[in-house]
Amino acid sequence: MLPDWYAATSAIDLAPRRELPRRRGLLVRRALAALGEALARELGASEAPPASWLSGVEPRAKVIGSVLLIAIATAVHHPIVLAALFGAVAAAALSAGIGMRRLARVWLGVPLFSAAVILPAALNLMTDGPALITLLRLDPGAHVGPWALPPVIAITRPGVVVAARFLLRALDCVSLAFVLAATTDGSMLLNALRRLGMPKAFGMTLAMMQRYLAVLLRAAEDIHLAKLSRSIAASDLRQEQRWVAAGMGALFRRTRRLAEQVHNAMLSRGYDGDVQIGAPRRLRIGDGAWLAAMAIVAAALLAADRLI
Amino acid sequence: MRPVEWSELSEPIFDIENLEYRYPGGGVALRDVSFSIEPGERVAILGANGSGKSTLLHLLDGLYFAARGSVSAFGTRLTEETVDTPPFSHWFRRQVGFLFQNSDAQLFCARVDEELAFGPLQLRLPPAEVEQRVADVLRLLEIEHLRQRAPQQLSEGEKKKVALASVLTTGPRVLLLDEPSSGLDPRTQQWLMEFLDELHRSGVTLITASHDLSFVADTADRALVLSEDHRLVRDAPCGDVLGDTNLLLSVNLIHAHAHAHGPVTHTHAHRHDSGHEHGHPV
Repeated sequence: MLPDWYAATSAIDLAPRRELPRRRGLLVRRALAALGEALARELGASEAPPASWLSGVEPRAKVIGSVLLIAIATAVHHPIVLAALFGAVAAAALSAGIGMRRLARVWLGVPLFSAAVILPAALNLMTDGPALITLLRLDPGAHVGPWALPPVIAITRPGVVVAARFLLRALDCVSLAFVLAATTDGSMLLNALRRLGMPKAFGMTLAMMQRYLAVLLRAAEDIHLAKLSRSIAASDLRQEQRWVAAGMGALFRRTRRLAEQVHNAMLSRGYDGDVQIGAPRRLRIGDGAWLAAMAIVAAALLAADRLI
Repeated sequence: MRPVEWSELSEPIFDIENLEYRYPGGGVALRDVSFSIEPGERVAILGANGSGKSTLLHLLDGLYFAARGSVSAFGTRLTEETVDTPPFSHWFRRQVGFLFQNSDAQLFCARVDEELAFGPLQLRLPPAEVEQRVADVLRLLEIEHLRQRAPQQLSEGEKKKVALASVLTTGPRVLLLDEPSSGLDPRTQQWLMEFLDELHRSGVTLITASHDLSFVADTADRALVLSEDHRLVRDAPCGDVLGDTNLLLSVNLIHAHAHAHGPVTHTHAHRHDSGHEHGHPV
């Protein structure tokens, strides 16, 4: 027996309420969907890396080589040397079969964030020197609180060098880490890190995070779609906040339950708190040659930095 | 405590006496349950959702521990201490495998071959033997083509096969199966029944928790029936239990419904394992 309100025909009378303009709500939803998709694609997928000369190098040797070059990138000062390192890494990445689109996604992201961080250092407020571009002229005696401001705010030549050095270092380090991850199977990379001294528990946490991120993203998407399928009109901000908090709580509860089940599954297969990992591949002559080559490149970069 | 070799076993695999278990929140999961299981049996634990079937399997696998009463495996009482202490702990984990209902919880490694290697590695088997077992089980379950796949790329049926494979690499002589047929399409379900039958003929003891009567009819000889108030209400041959319509109705394993045939309306138990046709005197 259906209640009266259920059986009544649909003369729905919504109380007037402030609604998000459709366009903005739609844009936010699309942006979130795109973010979720990108995360799921990059972190959830675990395709084998394309076969290449780089994917054939033993993971431990690759990690040591990459860490060495990252250390060099932080030690050298001259932007030309940093740019040369970036060029070499880009050439290695392209020759190893990593697509230009994938590289571009990484390279476009780095300058955006790094520029936001380093921009103040390019100004005469932080780095003195001859002005390249004047941004603002101020009244004499201008100040912010107790601090007096200079008559102009400008981008200085030494400031540009500082910013360029920072941006290139960031590009070099991120590119080296990205090429390492893109040319090495995920679990072999984690095993290599464990064998080189990373705590086992940390490695296991990273591996599980990669494994279950896709599961949790799907759960979050399901919660969102379930709500969407029952939403007739946009709610006000307070209600949306309450809903988001409740959704986070629901996701947290599911995560806890899943974590307990995973732990029980591990226990039932003999896990006793000490994770055992498989034996690594033996280092070959080619891996030794790779390490030697990395050492030579590192020395050459350092020497070039001293000489320029 | 001395671990017992399989060939020396003269006592039940599991011996449960006056078992009571409560959830951490206080709710009762099992009340006054007693039974034993001999080597080589095929036992089904039947009951509606929430009757305590999964909890009972967790207790048999030494993942939960009884508040009252006792659970003994191979003559040794299962406590947090015994399950955690070698050599019994290693021996127990080798002998008893648990197939979880949720394959996503069971498959926690990044790739299928790593999943299969996990159990043997934890048992400190030599690397060559681990690799051999992985290859053998992949071949046995005909899933060699899934070797390098990530779990999230598998279909439900493939996940179930990989989950089963991940348990078999430790070579268990006892298999606990929690709702193994749930979410499987008919062909995969048939495959699973035939595979379990082969395992049983090889000497593996099967203990299956399920409310799927048609699956249980083909995979068990004996049934333990849990009621909705968490008691063991029947322990009998599977055929006798599945033929007892009143029992099945009383524990919510089948339902009754009313329907009409022309002018005649009646209520009867509705079983999907037997025909729907019936006649009525007019």
